[in-house]
Amino acid sequence: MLTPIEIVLWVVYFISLYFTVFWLLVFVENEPLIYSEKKALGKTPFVTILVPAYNEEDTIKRTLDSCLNLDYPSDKLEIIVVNDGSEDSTAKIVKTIIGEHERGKLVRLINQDNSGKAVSLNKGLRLSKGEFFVCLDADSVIESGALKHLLPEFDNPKVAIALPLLKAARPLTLLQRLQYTEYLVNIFYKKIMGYLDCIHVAPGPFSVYRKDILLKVGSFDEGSITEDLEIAVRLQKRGYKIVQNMEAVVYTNTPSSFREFYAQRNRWFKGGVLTALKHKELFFNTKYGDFGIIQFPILLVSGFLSLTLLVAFAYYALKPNIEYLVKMGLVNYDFLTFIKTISLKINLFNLDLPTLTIFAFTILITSYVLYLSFFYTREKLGRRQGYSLPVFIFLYFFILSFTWLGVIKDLIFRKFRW
Amino acid sequence: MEKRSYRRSRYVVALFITLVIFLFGILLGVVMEGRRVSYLENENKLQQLKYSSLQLQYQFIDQLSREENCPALTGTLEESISSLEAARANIENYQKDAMLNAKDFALLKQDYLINQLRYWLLAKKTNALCNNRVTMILYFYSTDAKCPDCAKQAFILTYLKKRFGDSLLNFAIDSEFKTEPMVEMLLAAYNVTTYPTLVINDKPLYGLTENENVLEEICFYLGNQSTECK
Repeated sequence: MLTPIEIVLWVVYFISLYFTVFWLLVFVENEPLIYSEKKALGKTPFVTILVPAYNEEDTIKRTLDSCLNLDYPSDKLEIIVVNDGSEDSTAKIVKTIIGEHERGKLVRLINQDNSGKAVSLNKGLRLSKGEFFVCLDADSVIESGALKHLLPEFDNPKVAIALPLLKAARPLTLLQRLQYTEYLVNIFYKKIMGYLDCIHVAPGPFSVYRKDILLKVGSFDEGSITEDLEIAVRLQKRGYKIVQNMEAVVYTNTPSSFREFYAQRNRWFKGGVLTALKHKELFFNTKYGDFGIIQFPILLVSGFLSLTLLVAFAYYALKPNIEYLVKMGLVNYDFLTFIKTISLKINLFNLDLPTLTIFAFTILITSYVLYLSFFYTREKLGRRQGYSLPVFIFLYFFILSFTWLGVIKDLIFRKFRW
Repeated sequence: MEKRSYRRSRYVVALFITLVIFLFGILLGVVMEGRRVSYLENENKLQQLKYSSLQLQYQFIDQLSREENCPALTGTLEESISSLEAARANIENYQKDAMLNAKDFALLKQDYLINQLRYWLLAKKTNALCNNRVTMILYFYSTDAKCPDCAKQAFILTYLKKRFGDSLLNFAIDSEFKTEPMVEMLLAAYNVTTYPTLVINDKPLYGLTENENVLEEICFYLGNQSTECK
């Protein structure tokens, strides 16, 4: 007989496997299209790049240099830096670039009291002259051809946002290597989700917006802690398209410590839940197509899956060990006797084959998705990155699950700020 | 906004593939369960065969006064009892996970229980015949819900078995196993009403018996024969 936790765990296995199988089916249907969609840039519309910056003295120069080195006509480009009350030398560095770089005149510096990213974005949006509006986080760097690859995506008038290949820059620590892989997997999933109009987030680094649509839907939500997610959901709700481009490359810095990582993911997940609740009418609503049926519910379901796996892990891995330690107290912690009589005999009849089968399929499918992610983002698997993959497959989900615990706590105590 | 379309067939196909993977897993589980039953039945036959052989050895030593063969008999007996105990624990685990063969496992458990009791009686007789100083413990347990201390008691017995090896024989009896009349007879014989109960060399100890107390009883019986008691 299955115990309640086993039943819940099987439900979790089933849902996770279903989602993966579903998206792999979409991939199989659309696989020939992935690289056959390259479009050439016809006209060169005016583009505004908006860089919201708060205490970004370490990275702002590289970010702005990469903007100024874009392969795009100077008379069709403006760069607005909104200095959101930085207390460091961000503004000074921007002024130096304006004065010294040969295309420095393209940059405008706007100073404001610290008001948050969404306020900065809306301020920049109001001041922008471009037909297209690009948001660029001040810790990210773009490749020179990025704009020329992204703008042709707007041939379809329903396209509201085009996303670049967002990759993690220079991964050094194990945590960064895990995020590096995660970003590649995200690109792959976004590409196939785009075929069903299911992309639910437009990341801060170099997402290109069609400005008139952005204004029509009411700009960025200044009350949201994940305005990039909220705007994407709102655009999907209004029937616009978000597409993932596979040529334009952007590199962003990723957290190197668990503390920073936790803070970032806590905000993302919390923002996801709050956005899901704000637009709750989308849940399982066939009116919004696949986005309402499968993608939007994932915002909440992923939290449920994460937490359930964490509970299962505690139940299956931690509980027996804790119980064992407690029992060891009964025999005065005489580990030596047990060590001396360890038997390495394995009885194959004791294997739990149903669970092992599902587990094996999950690992197999995950490995295939990883292969596809590296392949379609044209990344080579280095030795060090390769070493981190087993950690990614087996442990990364648990790291994220711990973040969900914090999210639940914050939601209960109503901590909704950045 | 115009209503967005979606392809229902894609959801159905994904569901079908997921179900196939799950059913494949469950099918493997069912096959494995069948194999477990066959494996335990074979083991059971082997145990019965070993028992017949041991009984014959016992009669041979007893009737022809060939006490020099006692160590061989005692060694084989101890080995058989240990593997019987391991099989019993496996049956209980398999029974918990059983999907289709719960009844088969219950019958097997009864068979193993009977074997255990046969071995217990044979071990008692062998002890007397060969003048062995082997401690025998009957351990009466109940299901976890009724007996929160049973897992602790089992752990203590496992630990002591590891310490004393051949000098200690444990016989775990599931007191809930009412279909076997011998269980009722033993419960009545030792007046067992609470669980866990240990019967160490015919002396009953009711409730959870701490490691030190079991050790004391074992050593009282073994004297200085075991290095563990010195």
